[in-house]
Amino acid sequence: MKLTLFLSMLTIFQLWAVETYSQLTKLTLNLENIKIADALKEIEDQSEFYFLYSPKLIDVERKVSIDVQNETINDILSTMFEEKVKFAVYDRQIVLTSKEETGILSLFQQQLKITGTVADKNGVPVPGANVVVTGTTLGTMTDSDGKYSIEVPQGSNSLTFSFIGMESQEIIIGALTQIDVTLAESAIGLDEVVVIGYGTMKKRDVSTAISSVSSENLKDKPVSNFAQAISGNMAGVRITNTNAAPGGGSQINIRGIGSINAATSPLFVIDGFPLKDGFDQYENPLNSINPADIESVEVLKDASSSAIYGTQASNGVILITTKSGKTGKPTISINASSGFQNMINKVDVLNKQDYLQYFEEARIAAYLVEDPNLGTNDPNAPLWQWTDPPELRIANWEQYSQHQTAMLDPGSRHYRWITTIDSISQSPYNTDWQDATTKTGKVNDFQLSATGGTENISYMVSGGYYDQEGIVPTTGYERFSFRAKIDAKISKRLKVGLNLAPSFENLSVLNTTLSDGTGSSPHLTNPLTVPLFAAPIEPVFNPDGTPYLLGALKLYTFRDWNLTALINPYHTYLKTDKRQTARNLTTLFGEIKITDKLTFRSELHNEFRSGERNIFSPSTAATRNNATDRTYGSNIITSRFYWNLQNILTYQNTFGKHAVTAMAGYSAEEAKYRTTSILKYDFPVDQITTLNQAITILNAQTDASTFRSSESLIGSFGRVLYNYGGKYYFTGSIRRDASSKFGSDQKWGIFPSVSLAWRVSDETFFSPLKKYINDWKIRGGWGKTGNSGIGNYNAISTLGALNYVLGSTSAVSAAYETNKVANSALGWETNTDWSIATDVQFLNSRIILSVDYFYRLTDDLLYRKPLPVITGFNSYLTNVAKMRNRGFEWVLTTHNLTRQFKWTTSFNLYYFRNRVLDITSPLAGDGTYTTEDRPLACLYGPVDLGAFDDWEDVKTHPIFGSTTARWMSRSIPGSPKIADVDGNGILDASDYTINGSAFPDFTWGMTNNFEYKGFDLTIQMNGTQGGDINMVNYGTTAQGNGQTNVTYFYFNNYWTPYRTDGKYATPNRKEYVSDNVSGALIFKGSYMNIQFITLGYTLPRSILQKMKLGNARLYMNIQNAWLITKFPGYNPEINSRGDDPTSQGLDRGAYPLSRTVSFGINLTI
Amino acid sequence: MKKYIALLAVTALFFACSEKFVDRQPEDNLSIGNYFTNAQEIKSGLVGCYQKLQTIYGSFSSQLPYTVEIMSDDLKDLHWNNIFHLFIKTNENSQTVIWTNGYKMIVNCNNIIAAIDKYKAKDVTEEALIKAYRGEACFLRALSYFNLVRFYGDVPKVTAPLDDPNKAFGIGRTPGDDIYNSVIIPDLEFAIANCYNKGNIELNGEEARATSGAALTILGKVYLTMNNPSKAAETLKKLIVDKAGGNYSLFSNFQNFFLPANKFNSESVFEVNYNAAAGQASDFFRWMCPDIGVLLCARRYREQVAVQHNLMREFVNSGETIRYTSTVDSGIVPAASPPLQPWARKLTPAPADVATYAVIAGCDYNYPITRYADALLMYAEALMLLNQKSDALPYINMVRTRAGVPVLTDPDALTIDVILHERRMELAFEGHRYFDLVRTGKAVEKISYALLTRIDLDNQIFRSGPIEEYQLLLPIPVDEIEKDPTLTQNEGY
Repeated sequence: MKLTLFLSMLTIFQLWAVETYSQLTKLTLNLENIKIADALKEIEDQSEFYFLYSPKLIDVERKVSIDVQNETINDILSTMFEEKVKFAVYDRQIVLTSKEETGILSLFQQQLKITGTVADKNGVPVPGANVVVTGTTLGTMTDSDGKYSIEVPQGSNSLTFSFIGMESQEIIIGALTQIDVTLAESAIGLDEVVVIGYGTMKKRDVSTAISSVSSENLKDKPVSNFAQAISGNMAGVRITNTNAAPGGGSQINIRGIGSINAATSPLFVIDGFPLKDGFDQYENPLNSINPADIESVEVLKDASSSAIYGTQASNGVILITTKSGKTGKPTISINASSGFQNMINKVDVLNKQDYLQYFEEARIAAYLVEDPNLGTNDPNAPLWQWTDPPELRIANWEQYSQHQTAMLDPGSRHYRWITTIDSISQSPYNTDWQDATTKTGKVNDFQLSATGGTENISYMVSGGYYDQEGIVPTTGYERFSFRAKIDAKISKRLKVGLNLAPSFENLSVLNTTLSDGTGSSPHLTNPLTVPLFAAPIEPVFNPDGTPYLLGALKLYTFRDWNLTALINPYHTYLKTDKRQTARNLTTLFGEIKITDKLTFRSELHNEFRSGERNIFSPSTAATRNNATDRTYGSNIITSRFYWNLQNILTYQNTFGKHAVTAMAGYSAEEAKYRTTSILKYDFPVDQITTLNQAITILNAQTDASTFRSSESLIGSFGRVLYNYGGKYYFTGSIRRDASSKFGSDQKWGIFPSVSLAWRVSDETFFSPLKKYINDWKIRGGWGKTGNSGIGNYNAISTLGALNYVLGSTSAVSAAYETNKVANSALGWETNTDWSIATDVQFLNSRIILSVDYFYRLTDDLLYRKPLPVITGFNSYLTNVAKMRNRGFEWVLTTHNLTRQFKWTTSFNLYYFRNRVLDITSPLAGDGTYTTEDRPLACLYGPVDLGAFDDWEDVKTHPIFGSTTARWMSRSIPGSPKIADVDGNGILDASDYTINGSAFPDFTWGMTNNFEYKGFDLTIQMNGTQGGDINMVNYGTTAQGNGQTNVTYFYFNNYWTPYRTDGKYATPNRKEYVSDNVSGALIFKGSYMNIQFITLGYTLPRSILQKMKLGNARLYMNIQNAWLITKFPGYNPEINSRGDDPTSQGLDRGAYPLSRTVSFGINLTI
Repeated sequence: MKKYIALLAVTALFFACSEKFVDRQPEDNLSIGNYFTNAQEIKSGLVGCYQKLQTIYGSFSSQLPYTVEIMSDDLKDLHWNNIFHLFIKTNENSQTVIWTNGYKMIVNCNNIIAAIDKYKAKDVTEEALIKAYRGEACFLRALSYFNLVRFYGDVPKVTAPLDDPNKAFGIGRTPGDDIYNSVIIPDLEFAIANCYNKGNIELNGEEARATSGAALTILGKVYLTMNNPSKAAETLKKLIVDKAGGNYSLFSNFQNFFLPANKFNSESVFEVNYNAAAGQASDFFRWMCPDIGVLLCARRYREQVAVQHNLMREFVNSGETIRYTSTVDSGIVPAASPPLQPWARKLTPAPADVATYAVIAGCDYNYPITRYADALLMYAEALMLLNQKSDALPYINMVRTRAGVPVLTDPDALTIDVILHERRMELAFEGHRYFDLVRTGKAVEKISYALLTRIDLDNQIFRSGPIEEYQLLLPIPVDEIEKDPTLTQNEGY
């Protein structure tokens, strides 16, 4: 409903905007005896009008007086010039010519010579731009410096400037003899070229589903990878910022989610080179691509566009094209920005005063469940009251409790369970742990590039440095990146080129590796969640500056408080996890023009990637149980050597109205992986962290090892693009692939695709409507793609190495056992995809609307089919499951204002519905469950009914542990109430059910661009509606144990005798079984985020020329300007197990989001 | 134009090498097709079967030694909420690990037995060697089936490699008797005939391998379990009287039998071997004596186990000292306040030594699957059941003498209860008690007594009634039934 309203508002605005501005604008002027020049300036200031005239022809020194009220511009000008000057109004542009001299001009100057320069937004001259006298065929082109000169016949109104990929501009000639034009890159020009697999084509001719963004969308944003800058920009492409840490990963899913056990990440292809990287939560492989080097990003969303990539394409393909050298004078561009980051979306946890109240109430509840009358038929039950004073509680427990023996032993201090110790209120601290563990982060980004060339050789070189210091201590990311592209025309027919793109990254992440065996409660040790649980009554540091111990062996005076043992984040910060990645991408290509119509191109791509990870944990890093820890360090080195060879033959021709592009190609690739890992213990000192210092290797076999593997893929492919008069389109492609990953029976696969398009607007019957709808295309397609995103050697049964000691000495004997089931029929997953869509452009392309519908059926899904363990194995990988994704995408772009004040809005909305159609057996994930006829990875658990209201409620509803005698599970009013789903009167695991799905109802994005004179403003927003998140690690938001801090969200809503409608269970020192209350931890992840606001100012040409600069622009950017969400955690986009499709929507602790404010400058020389 | 043709020719080369190019074998792992082709490789497959012993009898709490102790009346869960301790067994928490690990060992044995059957020995010497390997694999397979049958009753019978994993569906359960007669007994008989005897030179430095003596002892246990005392007596006679498996004798000092320094001594019959220096550490002490583990170790387990006062009462009442003090630790540790619960110290290092192991993964203590004392008591039991009570007395007295308790003199006083008492004193915490109670039909009575009677400090009751007969078998893992509905569930679950 809201959307409809929004759309209709836009439409109304559009209609209003196309009305002539001059008719609608009424001005009031009261000017006494001033120069005409000043009067015109006054009008310019008051309105959007601007005047074009030559002072030589018009006497603007003449003084006039004007006194008008609410008059149109025509009337005002008529008054002002008293018929001496002729004027013409073109919307906001007004041209003044002398009446007297027009005649003379027409007599003596049949031709008018106009000169000028055409440049792009950055001041770079545009060579080869068309300059045409509007409405004629007279024209010229700009030279290599962007200069032109044209003779214009008398009576010509205006010149039109155009260039591929830029927005055409029409300038009224009036009396001007020099016209300098700045062409803006077109937002959605139909003549724009888009990159498709193994080729390019005109956007106008696209018959498949391709989204694209240009470098415009990436610039000025201080992000480490391009995906962060464009989330929400493309319909059907869901980019979620699952880990907000510096260098952290974004999850990218195109048109739903495509697999259960294989990769769900799209294929990334950079300048024709298909990469081997997928999703990585901690270390985004896309970081090594400097966003500043990217010219455009194209996303192949449907199988009819992506099938050319065969077995790698079922999750869609993202084509990244980097900037290339341009023929012309050398241009040097510099971009520098610097900014700071602060935490946003802080979790509201209790302050000291409220914490003490909750602390006491948790102990009262613990006291009450020991009431000796509970569970009996005593009519007077219960005996004990919420209001019993502490002394009575202790007395009652000493007499009746199951813990009476312990209560009587002063050493056990069991009274801490049921009363508040006095010293607790004496704590001098009121710590805000979140503030204490976050700081102001910094982002610096420097880019330098140079491009230029002659007719035969062109170059582009660039270097970048990006540095981010996170808002959480010890986190940070740094990148050095370089790129060189050289293209040379060796002869008329032969072209060669070399691209080099080395990059070096340093990433520092939180070391959350645990050595104290408490891995079952990671939230109590994770430095991202501990600040939420740590009690405000405890300090962060000891007086001597060392981190205060939050562990079980609390060596402090307040031991009696009985708080949960945690690890102080500052102890974790002492540990390190540093990762370095060096990577080089190299491409060598040659292109031969065999005939004018036939081209052969050969590309050899190569990647070498080497990563090193160093982990160190010093003795001073306390655990939950000990003040010191055993020191350990590890070193892991991985490398990948990967090459890819492509040979492509392209034939392009037109016969009359038939245009054909045919392509055939062949590719082969091989990747080799190596890993070395060493883990050692016992460093004599903490200062030196290299492993030569360490003394112990615990397990010689597993703690020092190397691994090797390799994979290969060959494919042959072909494609025909055909169109008839730009009206009827046909595209067909086919690819045949063989992958080393599959079984011997299923090595080869064939992936065909077809798409059709019809440009309705070019039909003769449509011409009456053409005024309103200038372009209308209907397109649709079908295709098959495959998914080979699984590990190597899955089809082969291998022997795992073990060992066993056969004697009394420690001599080991080698042992082997089968560790995998062979499956020679293991094959790719097949994704069959239908889509139908329409693109409509209204009112001379002022309004552009695209609507896509897609239906993806993924069959033969690789699935770990459960095996009876009598085979020795639990499951084996085979092709059995079936899943469907379908949905809609809407994209609406409107050019609301197009003259001097420009305003463009682009809005998109996308939704998909996922359903598992066939799966041999339900699959449990981490808090999730996948079963037939439901979306993948539904959240699963007990159904939370809040708290028991009163005794009547407890007695009439099944309670926990009715079959056990566990005191922990006694229920009283305020205890958690869970639905008895199967109705058998017993609460147990069979009452678990599906509680939600992480998939959103829909996602949307909107970008507004404003330009006025030198200013530009971009506001980019995105949002998600629906989608459930299970805050598995945040138990205290639904159940407090009086030992950790809780949120106000919970504090204000839990049951107490004075708040019997509270929807959460009462806190209880005797914790509830956490599984039983997990149903209350599911929240909607809906949010709206103003993701980027960029405000820029480009210095006027006149100043630039004085400074001898091509272009200069200052800008400010705010990232995450304003996030609106009801989700109580840190990050509503969290997906802690994003790498595992069967475990969606889990919050196991998120890196807090931050707002980044940065300032930058662009210079072009 | 020539050069273009040359270029196209080079390109064509890549089309040629396609099929082989995408056929890849792992570089850091053996694949099964090209292995087990000589005696040494076969041995490594056999060692792969032995290695599974560490998994099955592993120290982690959900596995066999823990389960079988907590289900008996010897050990208890400190929190009184363990479902095995309290015999609250439901389908939801059916014990899967024992099933899974048991079959993993069976599958490894099946694979290596099949490999041996395909292999042609080079000469007679190798023939004998290969047969011994096969005998050991048969022994391990029989041992695993014996455990499974005792825990689960009827179980699926798999004795050959499953080439097509889909054939594993629909096998169903084979009656326990059939498993005994068609798998366990033939396997053990093959092992008796082909394994080396204790002390054979082939076993020098490899004493942890199964011997014909080990096979005889287990076969004796199998027959007792099958309630066939005459066959049991016949089998054990071969071991004890005929010395058909080599020379066995009781180790002189009960306390020291378990020390790592005394591995594979004269009494040792079959042990799960551990060696911390080789990265194969035992950490029974982490769950067997959890309190001391918490005090002194870096790691702790959630399951906290303590000795049942029922057992300690029996030690005290019978005047045991040597076996009592070396089996149970009083629980007094100066550093602990309040005093700790008494813990099982038989297979664990002394408190003073625990700290040594705290920083490393564990210690060297072996887990004795069976020892000569077990064989002697079984032989006595078999003879007693055959009413040859006077013949039985010397064997039980050998055990008693070593333990420093008075010998029994009255043959008529020798009853099953006396034998069970002796076994409990001698073999506590070695995984025998629960199965002894079950096979003698005393389980319901004795275990219910321990759960429902207040003894000394065990003064709280967490069960409302006696356990039931059906609960003596574990439920078949529900996950497995879901995968293959031809598996039926045990009665009562």
